[in-house]
Amino acid sequence: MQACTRIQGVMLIDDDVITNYLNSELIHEMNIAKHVVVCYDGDEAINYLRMYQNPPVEDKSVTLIFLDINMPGIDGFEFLEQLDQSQLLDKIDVVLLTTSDNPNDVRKTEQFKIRGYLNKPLTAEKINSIVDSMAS
Amino acid sequence: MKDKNLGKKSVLERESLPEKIDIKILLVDDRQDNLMAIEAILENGNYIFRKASSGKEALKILLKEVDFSMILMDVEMPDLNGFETATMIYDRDKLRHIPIIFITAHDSNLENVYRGYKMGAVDYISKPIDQEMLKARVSVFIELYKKNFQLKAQEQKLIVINNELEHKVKERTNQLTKKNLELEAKNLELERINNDLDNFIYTASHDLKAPMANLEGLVNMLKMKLGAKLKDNEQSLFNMIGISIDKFNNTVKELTRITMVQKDLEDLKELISFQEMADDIKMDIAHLVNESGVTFFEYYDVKEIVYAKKNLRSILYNLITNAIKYRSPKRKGEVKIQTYRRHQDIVLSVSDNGLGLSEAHQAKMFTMFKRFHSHVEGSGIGLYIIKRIVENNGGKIEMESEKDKGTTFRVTFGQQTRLEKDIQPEQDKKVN
Repeated sequence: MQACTRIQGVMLIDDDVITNYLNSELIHEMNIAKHVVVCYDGDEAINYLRMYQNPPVEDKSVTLIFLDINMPGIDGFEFLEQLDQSQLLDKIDVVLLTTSDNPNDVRKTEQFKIRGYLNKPLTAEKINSIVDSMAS
Repeated sequence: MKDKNLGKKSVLERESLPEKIDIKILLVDDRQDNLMAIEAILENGNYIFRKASSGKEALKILLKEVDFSMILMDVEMPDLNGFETATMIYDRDKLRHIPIIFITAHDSNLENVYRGYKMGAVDYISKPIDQEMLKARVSVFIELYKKNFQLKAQEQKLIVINNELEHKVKERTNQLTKKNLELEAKNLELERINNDLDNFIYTASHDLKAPMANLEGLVNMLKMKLGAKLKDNEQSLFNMIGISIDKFNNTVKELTRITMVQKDLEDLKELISFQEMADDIKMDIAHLVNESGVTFFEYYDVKEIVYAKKNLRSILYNLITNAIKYRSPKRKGEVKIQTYRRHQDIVLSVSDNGLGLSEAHQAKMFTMFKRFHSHVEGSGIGLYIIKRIVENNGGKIEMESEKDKGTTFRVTFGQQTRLEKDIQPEQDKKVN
């Protein structure tokens, strides 16, 4: 179950409390990251990243983000845009987590360089495949 | 009174035949005996006469009455002579159409005759008056007048009819324009409702799936935490929870497929082999095929079709799985897949020898969430989706079913499913 690679930091961005609890619990159980940052909206996440990511601060910076698309305020796409503009998208792997079947949503993500697109819920298998693809 | 109104009233208002029109003649001569003589000659013609003893008097009469059919006028009169009087008569528009026959002395020179014609006078009679000549000439002009009158009456009628027609056309056009506007408004309204529905389905599906995904994640987490402590019967409870969640997710997914079908998002059309598609599907549902033990009979008269691959797959998949699912426990299941051509169209039919449906059920076959056999798995959306796919692509789907005999689904594909080369041989056949 455990991945051989340990990631510096993982950020979870979702407005849903249970989703965030579940995912951070899963990552802790799997013991793949040194720390997990939970954000409840895009604004909070952008502010955090601007503070600790450029240059990366030890014990604070993240290398992988799990991002929800449908959120109040800044949604997933707007968050990706801001990340792109701040030149952070190149340095961080982003995985979109969604329940959406809307084909327009998938199409919209195609313009961004992201690690992947996953359907909820996040599982140990899915996390492992992501981490593996990052290592290779 | 009667003759006075003639000509003033609309021709159409008078129902009388044009033959019965009153003929009024104005006689102008300075000598009373001449007037009497002319009146006497023309007495049998049923004419109405007005008599004037001078050009002035004639003009006075013509001020009040303009409905004369003819004027007979002496040329030689004191004060105003015939030509001068005629000039003044013809100055008035209303009188210009009245023919004038001049009566003049036998010895009058040719110059007068020419003058008379130049005036617009239509004829000319010399004194002493030849009775038969006068009668004949007057009757010729009166006939002309009558004919003219009839023509005018017809023209009037035509104008009225024309106006009525124009009015009717205008009215109809207005009605049509109004109907058209109403239709356009309805159309916009429908489009808006349709969009709302699509958005609603996407939003609803997202809102339904988000908590379900959490539930799935929570169950996974619980399972992981309990790990080896789980007993077999507890493990099977977890499995059942998993199956329920899957079923829910599939139903929601199919719901959103409805909107996708409508928007033709998967509209990339290509040439597809029926045989290959059927084989592919049979492979996918191998467990169902094996477990049911059904036998397939396949006859592909038409080998290929141009269609969106996903859509054709949905159609065939639904029809084949339905045919297997609703097999009869009383006999060995048989599924017959056929393609052929009816007129210009490609037809796909899938028949089974299964449970069949009563007529009452058949009518509701293609509605959403209708399922008629409770022992079989299914969301009840399948047939509804494929009906929409087929119809959106210009085709139609029909079914025939007999209870406890079997069911046949027949898909007639629309015109755009044929390739150029596909049509060619057909035309050749006709020539031969």
